[in-house]
Amino acid sequence: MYTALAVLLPLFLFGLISLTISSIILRREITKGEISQVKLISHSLEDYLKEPLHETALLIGALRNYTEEDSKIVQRIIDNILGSHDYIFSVQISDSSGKVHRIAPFNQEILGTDISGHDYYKESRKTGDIYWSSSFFSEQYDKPVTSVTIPYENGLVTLFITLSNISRIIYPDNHIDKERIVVVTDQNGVYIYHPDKNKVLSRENDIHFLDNKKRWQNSENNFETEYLGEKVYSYIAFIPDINWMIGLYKPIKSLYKPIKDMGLILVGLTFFFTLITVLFGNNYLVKVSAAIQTLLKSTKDVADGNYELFIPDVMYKDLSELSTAIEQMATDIRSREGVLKQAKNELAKNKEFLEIEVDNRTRELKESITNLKLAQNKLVESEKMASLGGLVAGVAHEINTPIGVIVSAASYLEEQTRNFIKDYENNNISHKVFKKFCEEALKSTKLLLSSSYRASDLIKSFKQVAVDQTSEQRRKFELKEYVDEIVASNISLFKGKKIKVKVEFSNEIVVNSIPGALAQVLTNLLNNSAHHGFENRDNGLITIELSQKNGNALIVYRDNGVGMSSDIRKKIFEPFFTTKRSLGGSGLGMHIVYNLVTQTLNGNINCSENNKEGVQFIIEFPINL
Amino acid sequence: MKVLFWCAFYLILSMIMISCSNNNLKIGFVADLSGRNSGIGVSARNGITMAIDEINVHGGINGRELVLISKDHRSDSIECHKVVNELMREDVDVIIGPLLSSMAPAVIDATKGKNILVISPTVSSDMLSGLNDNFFRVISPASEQGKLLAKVLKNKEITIVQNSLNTLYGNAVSEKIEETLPGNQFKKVYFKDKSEFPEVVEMLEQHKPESIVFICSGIDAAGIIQQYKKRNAYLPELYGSSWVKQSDILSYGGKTVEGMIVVDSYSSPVKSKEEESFYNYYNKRFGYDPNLSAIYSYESLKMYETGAKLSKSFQYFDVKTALISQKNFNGVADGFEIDSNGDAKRNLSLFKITNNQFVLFLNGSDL
Repeated sequence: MYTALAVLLPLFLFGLISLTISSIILRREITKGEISQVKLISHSLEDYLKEPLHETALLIGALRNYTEEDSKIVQRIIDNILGSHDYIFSVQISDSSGKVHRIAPFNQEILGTDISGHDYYKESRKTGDIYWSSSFFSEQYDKPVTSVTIPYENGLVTLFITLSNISRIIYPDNHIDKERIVVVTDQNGVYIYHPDKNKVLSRENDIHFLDNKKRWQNSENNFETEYLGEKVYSYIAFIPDINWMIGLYKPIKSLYKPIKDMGLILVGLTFFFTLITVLFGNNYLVKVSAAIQTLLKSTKDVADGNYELFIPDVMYKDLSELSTAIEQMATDIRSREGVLKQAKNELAKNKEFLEIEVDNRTRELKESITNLKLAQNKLVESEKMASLGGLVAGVAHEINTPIGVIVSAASYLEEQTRNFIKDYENNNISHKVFKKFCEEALKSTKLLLSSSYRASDLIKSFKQVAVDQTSEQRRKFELKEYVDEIVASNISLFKGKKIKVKVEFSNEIVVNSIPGALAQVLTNLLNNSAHHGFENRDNGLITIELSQKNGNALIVYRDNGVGMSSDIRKKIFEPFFTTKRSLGGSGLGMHIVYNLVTQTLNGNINCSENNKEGVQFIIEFPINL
Repeated sequence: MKVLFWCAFYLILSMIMISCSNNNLKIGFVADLSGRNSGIGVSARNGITMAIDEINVHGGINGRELVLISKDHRSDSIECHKVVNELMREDVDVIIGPLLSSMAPAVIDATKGKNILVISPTVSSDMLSGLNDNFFRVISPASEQGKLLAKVLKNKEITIVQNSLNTLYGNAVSEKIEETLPGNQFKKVYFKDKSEFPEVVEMLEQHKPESIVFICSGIDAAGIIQQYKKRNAYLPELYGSSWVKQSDILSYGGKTVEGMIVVDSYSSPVKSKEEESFYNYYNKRFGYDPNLSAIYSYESLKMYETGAKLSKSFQYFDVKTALISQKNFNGVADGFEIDSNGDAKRNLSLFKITNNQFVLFLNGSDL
């Protein structure tokens, strides 16, 4: 049922659309055809009626210079007009007063009569133009006729036209189309031609004449109307000058007849072919459906893993190919399933192997990490030692100066003393010499003492810093004092340059923390300022501000060196990050600083720009660890 | 029960539909439309067509639209009888016509006892007057024409030229003239058709009348006068009945009929607004001016409209009674009156052909 509907519905819709479009096209073509037909009749009638006017012009030419001798010529022309045009039944020549002085064929009764009462006389005389009369009853012909009157200086020539021959123009092949009413009316709307001859004989008016005339003036030549009680489609045309109207009335039902016929044929054909399609299609569908069901079952069997298929032969080529394809598919699936099983097994084996491998590698990795950590610790320790070494070198260098002074002063004193002893033994000691010796000795001892104190102080500072750096013991210390000691221990870093280190504080801060860690932190920072910030600079300023905030000690370390880019700043605390790798930098200095602040001092450290110049580190750690 | 109800419903519905489909009011018209006398027939049909147009524009008569069914009797009594029967078979509601008195007996005979109203626009035979029948007229009896013509024919030697095929009308006119002018000398010439024109002319030449009275169609009168004029330099005084006036005497007579005096219903030289409007519409619709045949035919149908509207019926007796009760009717140019037999009485006048036009010569009511 649904199948039939699925076939019929689109067919119906398609048919409906086709029919509608065809109707419109056909209707348009019919209209075009009918308009052409009306125009053709109009032109034919015009030619037909106007043709004798050429000969009439000759006749008038002859009449203008008429003498008795011309009588034969005039008669010949008249005979020619009558002979050539069988619809002209009489040629009448009258003088300007309306008296008929020649008529052909000869008619004694009419000759000499007065025609001045007729419209054709009055109008043609009044206008001086050719006058086509309305239909009138011919006293001579005893039938309705029409006439054309051509005035000239001395009178009128009137040609009388029978209406009975008009049908010959409208239907040249004498075949009257009953489905089209063609009418011709004169300038008053009186029928000149109508299929019903009585309407012409009785000079009936076309009731649509005035309406048609109005439409024609409004350039409308086809429209729907009612004619003789029937709905018709009307096509009209006017013959210029003569003012006759051609009307073609085509009943609407006959207008739509070809459309209806075409529709019926289309519907019939559609029905027939649909019936055939449904009948044969149904049989075909049953067989195809059964075959598809079999194939469907086979595919289900394949899906269930049953590859031993038995598909009966199918008579339709496509389905047979499908059947073969399903069988082939089953074979292929079985084959691939075997391959897959094998691959699965291998995969399982590989998995086990991989798990072992991963375990091994993980263990190795863990060992590597442990080793790496150990190596890192070693490196850190090395770095610390290196830092301490630097410190030692610096301190040693610093101590070297007072020691040198001591050596020089002692040597000088010794030499002076020897000389004095020698002078004494030689009793060559004068008061002046003795006084000089005493002054020199005093000077030397003063120098010895001051240098010794200086060396002692240095050693003392170094000792504390060095001990702190190696012991990592917690103790109480005054922050400013300790920072001064660290600075002092590292002052050799800036030797030969005018770099000032200013330690600023607001009040005394006693800290209970691990000073060695702090020493290492500041040492590293100073070291970096010396080697990076002021690498190619002779002047500079390092400021270390000390303060306390919320139970924390706050150290702001600044230098006005070259500073660092934001990329470097982001990575500065990463282990092994250095910009001086080629120059032997380990890249662990700042990492150690970070670890010392965050882990040993339990604080935090941030690196930021120092007003677009140099670097700034803010270190914050608990006063009481 | 339910089935019966639906059957009745459909039956009533069908009847209503059938009655609706046949709701047009059929107006029968009979006249000579293609023969020698078709001039007045065509004009009369035009007048009726105009009345139908006018009535239909205003919704028809009692809600029914009018349709015209025309029949052509070709001036043949037998044909006339036949076509009137055809009209009745087609269930016309009223018959307008005939126009010639000679055709009236055929129409009266065909409609006798058929309960159908016949209104003739131009039949004026006295023979048909005074009968209480179905035959109504809107024109005075023919004898009235004779009476008025006699007023201008006193003491004249008169030859009456009469169409022998319409003696009912012609005799009524001519006999009245003779009756009114007993002292005058009368001669009568009869003819059937144009083939007898030469003999008529010959007889007229023999009589050498002082005046000729034509009681025939205008086309025939013109034909005879034209032939007479060709052979004689001078024409006698020419007179004519209304038939002459209504059938193309001006066209076919031309200058030869100048000065001719004809009788017809009164028409004021100065047209009223309504008359002017009628003339304009007629001219626009048919291309030329109406004659009295057209006007009387128009008035005939308008008179029927009045009767049907007054009686609110289309039944013969109802309409007839209403018309007789109404008595006075408006006309295009002049009003008229009908008596209890349906015979009209209206003012007649004499018209003189001057410059190929009818010019009021003498108003009958002034006499």
